[in-house]
Amino acid sequence: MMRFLQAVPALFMICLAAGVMIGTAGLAFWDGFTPGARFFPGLLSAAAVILSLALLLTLQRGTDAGRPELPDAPGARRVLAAMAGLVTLALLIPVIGLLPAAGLFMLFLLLVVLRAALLPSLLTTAILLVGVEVIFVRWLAVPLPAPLFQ
Amino acid sequence: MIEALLQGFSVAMMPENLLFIFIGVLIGQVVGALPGVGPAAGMALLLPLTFGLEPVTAIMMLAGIMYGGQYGGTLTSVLINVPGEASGVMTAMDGHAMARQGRAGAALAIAAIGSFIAGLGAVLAVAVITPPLASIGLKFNAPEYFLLALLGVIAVGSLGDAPIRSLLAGVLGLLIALVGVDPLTGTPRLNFGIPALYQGIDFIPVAIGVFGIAEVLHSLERSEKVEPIRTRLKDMWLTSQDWAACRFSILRGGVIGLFVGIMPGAGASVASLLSYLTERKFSKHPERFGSGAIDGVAAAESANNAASHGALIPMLSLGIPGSASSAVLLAALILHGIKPGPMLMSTESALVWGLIASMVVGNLFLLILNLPMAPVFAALLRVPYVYLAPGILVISLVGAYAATLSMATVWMCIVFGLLGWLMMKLDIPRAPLVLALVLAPLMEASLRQALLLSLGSPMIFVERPISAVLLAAVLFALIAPIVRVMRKRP
Repeated sequence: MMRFLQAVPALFMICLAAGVMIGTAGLAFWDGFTPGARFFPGLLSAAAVILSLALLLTLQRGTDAGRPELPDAPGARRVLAAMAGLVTLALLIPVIGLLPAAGLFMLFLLLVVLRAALLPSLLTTAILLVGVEVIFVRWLAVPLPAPLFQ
Repeated sequence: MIEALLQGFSVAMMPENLLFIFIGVLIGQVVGALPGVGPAAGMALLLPLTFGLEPVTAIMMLAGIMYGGQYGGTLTSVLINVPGEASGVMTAMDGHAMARQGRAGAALAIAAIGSFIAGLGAVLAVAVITPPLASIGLKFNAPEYFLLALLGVIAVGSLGDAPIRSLLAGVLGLLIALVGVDPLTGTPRLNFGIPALYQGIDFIPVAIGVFGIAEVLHSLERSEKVEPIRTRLKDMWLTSQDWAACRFSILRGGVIGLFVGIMPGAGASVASLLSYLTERKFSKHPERFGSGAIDGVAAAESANNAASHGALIPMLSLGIPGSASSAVLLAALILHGIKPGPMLMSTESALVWGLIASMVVGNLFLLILNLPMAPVFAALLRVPYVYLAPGILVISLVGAYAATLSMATVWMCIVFGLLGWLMMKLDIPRAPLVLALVLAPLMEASLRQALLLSLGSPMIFVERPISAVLLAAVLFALIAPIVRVMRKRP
């Protein structure tokens, strides 16, 4: 498992390099005397593949100093829940507006994910929302996304 | 130079600028003191808020966060043995040992004084070295710029014990920068028909995601509560033995920090490590190091603050950032419509000298904040992190949205937050990615312009004396660490 985790960056970069080469297939590598739009992506893809192979080689020889470290089960659950909360927040913003969505996200993270006490959580959420309103809306005049129904 | 510096002070001492320097160093102090939010993340988060400010005011404030973070990081290192940044690791070793012996105040005091003295020395060096370096930079053309940018990306990767992983992170940053349009011909490239990608991937969501959101996600993994060691104002007096032990440590730490900071890619963590090791070598009692040596704290803290100032020298004179924080500062310059590079000294003289003068003022503010007010900031560490983490995530996303008024930026922040967290888990350094993203446009444009000038011949990189030297440096920085890894025995 550890060896696979150590190899993930190399495998990812090889796939990414292949993706870049496919994604720039319609562009010119060289255009007369001038390097074309595919020139730099081509060089970088080659560098990515060479470095990835070098990383795999050091892994095989047991000289890679990388130490991947996965979270324990409760830690992973908290991170996944926070990520799910962030995605839901981004989906909710255009529908109910930024401030209400941010408030719901705060309460979800504090009460459900981090199991914080109710009163301090409500207070923290209120302070943050007032802070965002004062700094971004009143001071910087940023038009934050409003609810769809407004 | 004196006249220019005086002009800089007249800019820095304007009431509005003084206020924002103070806000900057205060935020730096706080983000440095909060475990999991470093100066680069703090600067990236605050960057959108500076759009309403004059560029000079904004840059002074952001720079304040950069060096203020070094002061603030000492608190977590000393009081809870959790370095907020890699540059605080050496401080934690002896600083926390001192705290456990009831000398937390002395450790914090010498760290603040050492940082202040080394910071002032480094500011003086910035003032002296930047103008001549910028004059040399004026002789640079496309080949030199390409090689310098390449050196910046490679040098970050070549340090540390996993150089291939760092170089891969740099290449990833360069690949991300390819999205959008080709900078020379305007041809759409790698945007897959997605309108949000037509303008490319902005620096702000990447920096906020990779540094800010990723750090918070990482901190959410742990649920244990850390109780900081208490400190009082009266504990902060230093004895004459302390002074005697530290005066040369501060001097040596400052000099080492400055030179390491100037080198592209080295940064504050390498500076504090080198300085600590040097100090142990010079010490009459090297056995005390690791168990509460005050000179170890002085050396490490002087070095990391001097390095964070020193990293501004290549950034201001050549437009090449030496660290992740100075990469954010460089991005801020660009976002405020200022073109970095050797011409900056002449075209934006008030900004450059104002920034240099602001660092003197900012270091003075930080000394005041860290000597009599250290116990107040130490109290910050008693706020349970669970109440701060969700707020940091929300402010990150709101800040990202405010920068572009586009929900696409919010989505990018989330994606890059996940990427940054995965990089942390897979032990891939994140600084090279951000540095490469900033340097990528300069690198690609310079490479292609150089080859256009030479009608496609790569010999242009060896025919010009400066570029030949730079090419040798690039090859050395690239090959030496790879050979080192390959020759390592399992």
